[in-house]
Amino acid sequence: MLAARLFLQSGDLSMAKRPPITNRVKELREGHDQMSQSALAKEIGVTRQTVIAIEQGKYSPSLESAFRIARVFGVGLEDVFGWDGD
Amino acid sequence: MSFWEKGYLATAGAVLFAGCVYAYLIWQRSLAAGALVAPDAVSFVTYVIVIVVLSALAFILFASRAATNPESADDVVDGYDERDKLIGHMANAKAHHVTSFGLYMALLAFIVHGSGNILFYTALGALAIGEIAMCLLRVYFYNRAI
Repeated sequence: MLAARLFLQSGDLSMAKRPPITNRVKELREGHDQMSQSALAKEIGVTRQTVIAIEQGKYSPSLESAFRIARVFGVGLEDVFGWDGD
Repeated sequence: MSFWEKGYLATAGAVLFAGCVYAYLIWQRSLAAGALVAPDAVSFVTYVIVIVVLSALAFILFASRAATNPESADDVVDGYDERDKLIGHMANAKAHHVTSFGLYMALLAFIVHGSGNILFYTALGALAIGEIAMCLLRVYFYNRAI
């Protein structure tokens, strides 16, 4: 039992809390002619599921994808992403 | 639930199903023989083929269903992206611990019993459990913040 608890609490599995990076992807996408999640996904080269996860704050994209998102909306990186941690 | 999540759940189900059938057959044969029977190539190859065929059929079924839905069709076409790779990496790292633990138990069983048959079956079980763990962990990570 102890081994199982240690396994579940160790490393990646303890990362259930949301990443400290916030974003305005949904807001910017909707303000961009109601761009669909699929269209944004195609623009930045990820799946629609990943766009959904980013918008829900469940996944922080790679730096490359973050730059691609910012370029799609024609804004700076810090206009899309923010830091909400310590 | 995304295309990949369904696929991994189906793979876990296929490994579990094939493993249970294989274990039942070995148990029946061992009861008849009065001792643990040695592994044979035919049963083992059949076990592997059943897993591959069931998993492939499940992926084809989910892909054909997704193709009829305009939204989820993109998920199949776009395939595997950076998040999928990260989740795969995280799940593999954890499942590796499960497999390793099982293999060490198999080696321990071999030391205790001195039976190559027990070593084979416990090692095979460890690999199957590791595969199931990998699939379930992927589904877990798909639904958690990473």
